[in-house]
Amino acid sequence: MLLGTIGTGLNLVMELQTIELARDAGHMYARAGPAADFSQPGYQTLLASIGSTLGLSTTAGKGSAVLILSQVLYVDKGICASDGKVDGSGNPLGCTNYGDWVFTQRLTIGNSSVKTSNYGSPVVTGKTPVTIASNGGISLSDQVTNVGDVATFGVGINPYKDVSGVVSGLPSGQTIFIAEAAANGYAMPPIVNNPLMYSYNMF
Amino acid sequence: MPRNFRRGSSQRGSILLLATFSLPLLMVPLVGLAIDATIVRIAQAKLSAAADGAALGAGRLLGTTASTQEIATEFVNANFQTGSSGFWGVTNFTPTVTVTLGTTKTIALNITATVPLFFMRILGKSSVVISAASTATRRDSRIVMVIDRSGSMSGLDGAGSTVIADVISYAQGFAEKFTEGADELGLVVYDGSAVVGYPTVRPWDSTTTKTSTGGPDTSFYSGAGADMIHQIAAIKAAGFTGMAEGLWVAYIELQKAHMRDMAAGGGVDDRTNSIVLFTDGLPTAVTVHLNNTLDNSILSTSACTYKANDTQKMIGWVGILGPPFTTAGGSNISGVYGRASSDTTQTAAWWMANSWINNTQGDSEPGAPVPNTPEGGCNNIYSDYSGKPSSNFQTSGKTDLKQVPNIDGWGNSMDGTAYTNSAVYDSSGSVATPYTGALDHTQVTNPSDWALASWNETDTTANNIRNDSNLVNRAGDTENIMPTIYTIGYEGDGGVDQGLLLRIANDKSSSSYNGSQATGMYIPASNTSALATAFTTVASAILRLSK
Amino acid sequence: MDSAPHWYPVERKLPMNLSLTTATNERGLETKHLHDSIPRASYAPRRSRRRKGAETIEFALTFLPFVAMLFLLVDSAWAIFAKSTLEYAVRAGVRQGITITGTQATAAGSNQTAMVKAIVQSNALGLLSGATGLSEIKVNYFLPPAPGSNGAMTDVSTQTNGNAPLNVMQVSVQGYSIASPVPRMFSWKTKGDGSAMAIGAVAADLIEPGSDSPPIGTAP
Repeated sequence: MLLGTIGTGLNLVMELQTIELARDAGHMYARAGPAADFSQPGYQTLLASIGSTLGLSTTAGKGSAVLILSQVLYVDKGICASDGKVDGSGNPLGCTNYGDWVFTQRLTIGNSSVKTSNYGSPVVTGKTPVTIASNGGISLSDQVTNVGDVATFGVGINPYKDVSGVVSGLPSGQTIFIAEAAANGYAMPPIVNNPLMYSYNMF
Repeated sequence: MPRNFRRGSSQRGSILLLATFSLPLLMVPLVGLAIDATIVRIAQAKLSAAADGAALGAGRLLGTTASTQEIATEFVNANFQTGSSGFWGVTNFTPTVTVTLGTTKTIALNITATVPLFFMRILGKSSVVISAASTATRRDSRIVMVIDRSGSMSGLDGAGSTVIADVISYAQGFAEKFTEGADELGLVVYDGSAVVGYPTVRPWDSTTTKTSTGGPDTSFYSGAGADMIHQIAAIKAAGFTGMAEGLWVAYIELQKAHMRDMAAGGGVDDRTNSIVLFTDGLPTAVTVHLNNTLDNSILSTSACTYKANDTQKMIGWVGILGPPFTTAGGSNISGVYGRASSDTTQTAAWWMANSWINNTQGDSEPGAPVPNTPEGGCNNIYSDYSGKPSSNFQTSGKTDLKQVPNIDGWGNSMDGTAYTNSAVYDSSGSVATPYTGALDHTQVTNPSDWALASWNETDTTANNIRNDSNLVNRAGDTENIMPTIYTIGYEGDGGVDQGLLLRIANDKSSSSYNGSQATGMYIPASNTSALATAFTTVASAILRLSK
Repeated sequence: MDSAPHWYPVERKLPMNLSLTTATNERGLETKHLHDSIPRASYAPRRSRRRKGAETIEFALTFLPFVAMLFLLVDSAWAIFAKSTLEYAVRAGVRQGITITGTQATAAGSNQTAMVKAIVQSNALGLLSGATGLSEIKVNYFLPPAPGSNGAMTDVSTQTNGNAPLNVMQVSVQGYSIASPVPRMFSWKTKGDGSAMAIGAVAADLIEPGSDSPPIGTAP
């Protein structure tokens, strides 16, 4: 019971911290808008200090935690039009991702091998890779035409889908900001084996 | 006699006894405290994060056609999944969303849920109810954009385009972030003189009564050929930088809309009022009222008809050419031009596409004095433009003026030493130290003194706007409209005066920060992408969601 | 061991000696020759002199570790509880602190930093009470780096414009050490050593933009 208490208790505290990290980072990410560039070292140091007990590191590939920030956009006619992928009467033409949610930005901080995103990731390898800029941005043409940039809401629920699965009444250009935090907990075999703390928050 | 013969048999059971009693009385509550309390904390934190996510996500859409109530509920459900695969077995998840509309729109979320406890069950407490609340508020905005279209704006931006083309694009993007039909937007452009680009009502009404025409409105993005988006697209760059007049005209526009909305709203108007100023340089023009009875600037020996009284007001603007005034000298003072806002013949669309310099018409051209009107009789105050007696004050050495005026054409002071707070920065860093000498109003032919006066004019104009100094002249109005000023400075055209722009905005870092006025923001931009970011940052700041 | 008094009649002495012998035999106190000659009664307890103290030792041996484990359980449970409480308290401080307006500050006769610390204190369930607790709460303000810059965030906590909108507010608990609820077992008189068990918590967020900015107060 003692070991169970200590092991479970510590992992519970870590879970609380993943929730708070996802919330803090996501709120700043969604609220700050364009002025905050989370790829800058200054911001990453701040995030690492919030996630310090989880082992979030500013060096990619190091540490025992990861923070994934994504911005996801719904591609409607207006978006197709802004990339020129419409015909004369404004209907989508050659707009591959029309009707899908695509990534407009993806930033990964910390050790990406801890967990991959529950919402998919832009496909950066292969014949037609998605290019992710140093600040995490993805070009408009990739968003509109590259199938590898589509986000999947398999495990999660997309808040902008109403009951019948249709997105209606939304102004063009709506984005969802998603923050996911994951960390390796304390393993205390045989009581606690390979625990993974995970939390996400959508703004 | 042996006494303790009983001890052996009772000792055997003591550990067991101790453990049996301490289990429920000590260990379970302790472990319950640690584990159960932490689980409840976790559920509470997640619930609170879900509420915040929903408030922000749905709050963004307040004022649009989307159903914020439904979307808020969807967000909460997406962030906090219950049920068999749900979060720690939480049940009775009940979100309550209340949306209130009006010019101040609020979305209030209240969520309760029940968390089952594990260890505390033994002591009879099997679950606990947690709750979280979050609100988002959006007040409808009233914004006037004030855009510098001086000659330097037609310079290159280092990325294949011109600065004015970039600003046009970013300003359009800015306007598109607001809600047609809900927010009110307006447009003022300035070169040597300021003129209203949207709405397109002409002639321009400078009064601030409830029946005044003009003022920002909600049709700025209606798609019509004369909507604000089209007017922005028509802007052409040329001329001086009459920053103070740009700000003051914007202030008049805000007041007109405020009076109109107050009358329509039964005496109440709770929109936020903002001015967004963009510039790429220092102020180089002043508006003047030369025969102002409070501050007459005409030589008594001049031939001007109205030198002694202002039955006909001699109003106009004076342009100053030269480097930032922080170094001595300057090359030119162009004489007095007519105010663009006084023009009664040209349309707003015409003005967007033409400044004073594009105009080659005769006497009816804006900017040139019209004969037999206020400037009549004067010999040495005209601009050196289109055939009138040349009056480059500096080269000719002749002038009808006796002083650099103390009060500008709109009643704002040009006196003082505030210019010692100047701090000029270009994209590489600081390029000039403040001028610490005195402003000598008698040096009529010295461009530097005019330039210092222009700095002061802009500074006091902004301060008066932030104080809503014209409240006394608004009949039936008792409330300060608290305008917030945001300034964006593009540093790539020779530099902007950071000291001045911080003061205009009443940014927290301003040398004259005043806590009783609205706190604005100054955002410098050293290149074109920073400029794009600056516009979107100001839009986000205005679209504040409060919790 | 006394024998029966010599003046007793023989017929009384015998049963008396017998019962005495039996009694001493029961308690294992008889002399050795008697011990060997008298058979054990079935009801006599099988405890021997050698083993009588075994339970005492067994108790002594297990009692201390048991209590130590109990105390460890108490300490770790308390530590976990304290950690989660502090984490929650700083988050509450940030969440409310970033929306404090100048009007609210004036109405409370206070400033942003003081109000945030009060919020953290009230959410810490008494763990951070009093002036000591207040001094362990730190509110730092940071200026984000300029776009495109690789510099670090600048700590502007001591500047009057440190709480400008869109700056970062970081609320943390530093130097809080667990006050063990259990007294130390072996050195009663020595003050408990709290330095070994310091707990911290950090939360941060961006200050909401708005035109009604409160005074910053004394930070951190």
